Amino acid sequence: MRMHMLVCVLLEAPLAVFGQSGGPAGVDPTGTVVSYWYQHTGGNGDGMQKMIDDFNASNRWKITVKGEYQGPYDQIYNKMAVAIAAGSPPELVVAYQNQAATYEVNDALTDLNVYVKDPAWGLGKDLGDFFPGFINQDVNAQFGGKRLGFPPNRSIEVMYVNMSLLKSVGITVPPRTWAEFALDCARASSRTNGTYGYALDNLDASHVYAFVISRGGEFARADGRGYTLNTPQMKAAMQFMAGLVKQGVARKIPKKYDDQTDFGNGIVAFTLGSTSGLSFYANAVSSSRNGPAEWVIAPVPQQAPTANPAIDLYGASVSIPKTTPQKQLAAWLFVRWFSEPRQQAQWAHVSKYFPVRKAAEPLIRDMLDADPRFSAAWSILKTANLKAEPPFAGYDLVRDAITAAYSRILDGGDIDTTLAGLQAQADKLFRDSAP
Amino acid sequence: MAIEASQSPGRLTAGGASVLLLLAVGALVCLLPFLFMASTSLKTTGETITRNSPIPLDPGFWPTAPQWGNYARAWTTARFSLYFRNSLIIALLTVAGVTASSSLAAYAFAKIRFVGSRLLFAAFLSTLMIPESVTLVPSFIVITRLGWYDTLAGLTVPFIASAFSIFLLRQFFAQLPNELLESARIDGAGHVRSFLSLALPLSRAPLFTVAFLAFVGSWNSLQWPLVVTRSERWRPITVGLTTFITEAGPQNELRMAGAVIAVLPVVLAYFLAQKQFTEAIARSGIKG
Repeated sequence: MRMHMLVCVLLEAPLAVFGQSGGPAGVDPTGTVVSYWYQHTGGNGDGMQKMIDDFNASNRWKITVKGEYQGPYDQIYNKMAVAIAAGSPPELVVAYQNQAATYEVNDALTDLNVYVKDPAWGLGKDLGDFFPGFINQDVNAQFGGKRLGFPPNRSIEVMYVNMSLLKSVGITVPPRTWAEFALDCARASSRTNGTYGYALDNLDASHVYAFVISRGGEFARADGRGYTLNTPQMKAAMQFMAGLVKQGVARKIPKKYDDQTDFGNGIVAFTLGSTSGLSFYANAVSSSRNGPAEWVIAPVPQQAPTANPAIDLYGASVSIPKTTPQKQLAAWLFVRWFSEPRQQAQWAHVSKYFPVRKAAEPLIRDMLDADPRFSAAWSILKTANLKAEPPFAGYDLVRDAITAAYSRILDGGDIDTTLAGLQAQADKLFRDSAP
Repeated sequence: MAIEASQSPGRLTAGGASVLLLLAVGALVCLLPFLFMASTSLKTTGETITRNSPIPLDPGFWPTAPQWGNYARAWTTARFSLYFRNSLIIALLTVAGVTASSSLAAYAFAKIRFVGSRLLFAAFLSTLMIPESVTLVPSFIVITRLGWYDTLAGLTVPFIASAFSIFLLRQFFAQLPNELLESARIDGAGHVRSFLSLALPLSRAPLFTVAFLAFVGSWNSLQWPLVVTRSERWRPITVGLTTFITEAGPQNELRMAGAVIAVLPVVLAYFLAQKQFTEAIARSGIKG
């Protein structure tokens, strides 16, 4: 059974009343214990646990947070479905926006607007210090503007550029527009040398989203009432990529992370990926005998040159399931503490994710000075027009449909027919998954 | 059986050679994933990205310099010693429970006549058609209500009864001659004595099969342990392997090192069980 359908079936089973709504007014969180389900492992896991210990030791309400690794994102999603159906969710859980939406189909989450804006416990003037794209990503139009999560960190999609390969063919700067990108791909491709322009990683739907927003489009209606996948911008993006593949200057990468492999081996000029993959790219390049001597990151190309490129946001948020007012408030107080500049900077040092607050910049100056690529990514972030993929319930299935349509088009399928079919399929998935 | 004149011991015919070649190719194909796993476990992180050829003849298949330290890192980073111990305890308890409960139930279904036995057996078999995902939530609710969440009982008790194992053993017990049991009854043996003294010793081969399958199933289980545990206390080795999947990409060298560590007991159990199968059949009291 597909995981998403399993989740919907489980959540729609008869449920005991397990949580209370309502604000934090008059609530005392003293001595409350909060279970926090997360996906962090290794160094990130150790760093998160240390920060949790710091909170537990320093907060004046004697709130105790218990950080618990619960597997990768999809396992947490599965486990949450079971926990919600059984009436025993954790007090705090990591969730992508569409996963949170699925939980909310069954009214399982707290609307964090109540806490964010509360005069006593809210963010107050600090709200203005958050990057707007970050703080607004969890406000879900499908649920009437409820804030179903809060960002603990973020990353963005960038273009990894093999400057050594580009310079060998006389190109000295990364392309800023799709037209320049196409020309650079063609010049960087050589059958003799075995090089090519662009690695289409796994036909990831997030990259398709980047293509569309860079052309002024979107995947969803602003009112949260459905998807917009059969648009002029989507058609233009598909035509463009199909053209590159047909020319032989772009290659489909069937195996996940093989685009990093090709980049590390110096045979591809451009890949797209998250800034959280910087260390993996660095590893790939340093371990290869043929790795590029010079490589940089740059904004994803746009339709026309702009100082504010449209950039895809990555990163899961944390959500607070409905439990008791005390537990909900205690969980929120931890989330609020975690979002403070000092903690954000500390987490950035551990995880290499971006902090969600501008005021954290002086505290990560050492990271920015030590790593020019991380610094470049931070600069892109500060000027970018940040966009986020649809936070709708069932979007994970729509992503699969987008990948399948993309693949069909690259294999020669008719674009208009394929996109019409994709739109119909997305509409059905939206209706089936909606509250 | 007389050896045919056209064949003599030691001579390989063309047909035999073809079969041998085919089997050798098949064996290599089956071994290749394990070889890839072992080879990847000895690479650096960068090499797992840039040197990941699937062909053994390609230098990119092999590490430039074996990183034996990956095994130590996998063992300590993911707390493999704790998970390994947990997996062993869970698997051994499950095996003991499955073989005990299944053999008793199978003997009853095969050799004891009681009202409704056929209907009951059919009901047991019908549970084989229910996917695990359907019973996940009700099972979880029962476990939490019993207070077994994040405990060893929650990880083992639900698997102590196995419809498949009962079916497997029941088919074997049904083949035991009733005369054997009747003669034991004449000597004063009841069902318990007959079960312990006759049926069990004769059923070593299927019992080892049931034990091995129960061991492998328990050892490889991931979804249920993840759902019913929230702390490291009783998490098995399969959960430990997931800790190497980070958000930016998998640490494949550690995942493969962990996988090699995880698969060794299963391979060992297979070879132990295989030997016992052969001995059990050789010592069988059933003669032609």
